[in-house]
Amino acid sequence: MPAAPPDSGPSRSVHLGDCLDPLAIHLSCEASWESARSDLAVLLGSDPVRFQGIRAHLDIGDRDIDLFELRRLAHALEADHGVLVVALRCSPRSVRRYAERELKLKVLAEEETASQIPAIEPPPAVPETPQPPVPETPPPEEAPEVVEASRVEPEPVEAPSLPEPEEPDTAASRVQVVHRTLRSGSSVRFNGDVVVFGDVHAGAQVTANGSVVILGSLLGLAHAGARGDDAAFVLALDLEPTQIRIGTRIAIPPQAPGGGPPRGAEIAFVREDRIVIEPYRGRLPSSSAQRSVE
Amino acid sequence: MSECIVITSGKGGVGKTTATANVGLALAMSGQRVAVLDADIGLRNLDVILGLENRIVYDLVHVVEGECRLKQALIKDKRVEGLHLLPAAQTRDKNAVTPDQMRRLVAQLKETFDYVLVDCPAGIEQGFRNSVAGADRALIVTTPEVSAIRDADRIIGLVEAAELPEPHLVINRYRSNMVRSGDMLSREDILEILAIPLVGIVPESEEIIIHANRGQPAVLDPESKVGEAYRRIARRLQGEKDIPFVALETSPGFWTSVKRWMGFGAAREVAS
Repeated sequence: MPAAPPDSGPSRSVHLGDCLDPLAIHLSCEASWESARSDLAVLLGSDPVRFQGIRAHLDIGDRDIDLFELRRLAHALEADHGVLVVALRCSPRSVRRYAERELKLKVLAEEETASQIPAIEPPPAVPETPQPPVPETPPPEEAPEVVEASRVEPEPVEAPSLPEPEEPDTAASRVQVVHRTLRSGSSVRFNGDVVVFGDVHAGAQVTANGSVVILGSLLGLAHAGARGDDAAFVLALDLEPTQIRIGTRIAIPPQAPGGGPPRGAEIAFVREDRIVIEPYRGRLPSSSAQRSVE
Repeated sequence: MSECIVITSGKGGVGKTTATANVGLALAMSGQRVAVLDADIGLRNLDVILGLENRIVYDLVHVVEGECRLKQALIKDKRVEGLHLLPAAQTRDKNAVTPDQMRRLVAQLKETFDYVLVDCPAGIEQGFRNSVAGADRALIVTTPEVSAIRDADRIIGLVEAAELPEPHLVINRYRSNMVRSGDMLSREDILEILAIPLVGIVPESEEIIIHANRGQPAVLDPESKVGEAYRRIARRLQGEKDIPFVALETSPGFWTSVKRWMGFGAAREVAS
């Protein structure tokens, strides 16, 4: 295939504005995040001198992006292309809040960059509700202490700087089904509930914004309510995780993996501010439905 | 003055991670502030050997990518004052980190710690280049086997090419009785081939498997010969001279002491 001019190939997933400083970068929601990212790298790499040292306004539309991915992109743009992302335009509220608080980006209103961005489908309108001011609490300096969370009296642990609690509105309706055993090193991350038909081995990781159900044994790490939803739970037929996280809490089970006879299905959920593990008797934690997130 | 030592071997399975864990603990036990850093991204093990796996929240890649601060990712060993682990990421690969990033990370660690030990992955690719990037010197681990020694020789060349000072050698899994009967390469044979200074000989022992499975490195067991060998390596690394090699001492009580150890009494309460 002949070398394409810089903006014909990637242009479906990436649009650059005409104004150079600040440069408007629009990543289309149609392409996958990875391809949009690599297309952007190609575009910027095609004329490194032109883009070196400029500031950019990033527009990701209504893409519900993993917050760490956003940070990774901003770092990569600065390190690889000398492009400093100073502002962000996007719809998902959690991303905006995170961008403002953690990445110190200016969050733009819809109109501010609209003139510089090629016409695209407007993202579905998300009703804007005013956010109550959240007090800034600097995360602890030291490593978070992961305390043993026994089946009887589990100890909660505060994880620092995890994403802010988010209303579990969108997560509830989505489910990802995983039809395989997750071996060490593999990970599943989903904005919704995750069901695994298989085991989750030590060294593997399941992260869900909703709840996690494992029809097999959990020996690795499961994180339910990854956006801070305390009502999420982790259910497994054999619950021996390396570590378990619900919302912003982190706990480890009391016994070393492999110890003792199998106990049958168990469920881990948050009760009175701590993660507890109980035998599963066909009933989900009753309080979890109406438990509100502070 | 703080120092970064990379523990490497070329060949896999010769005991790099075990050596890193034990030397790190031994240095910490002698009062040094030590950070052990697992550079084996994607195949992390050091956390398991140290028994700290379930306390991992953040890892090296999170630090490098700015998702957390260095201090948040460092796991403090509760058994020994002064030992901290920076674990590797398990769900990423070696290319998630560059040598430049490692150099900066090690420089940052050296501000706080007396010793930074880097557990290098097997091989001579990106993982190796990352591991030697910030190192001040190297510790080469080998076993008395021709394949391990061949790889060690290659690695010594690469360490020299990376402009590190002459590396030191640890011979692991040494069996004095087999050497005496002529069935195993001797210390002299190995040193003749590799021609670098020897900093320790660790005797072969079954106990090391039990230590690894329990996440309790041998150094924590005062009865262990292997632990004693690593303690002496730590002393030599700190500049002590004229310490005899454990593996060459012919004490008749060696195996009986190992058997005594099998009872494994006191160490359990430290498990967390």
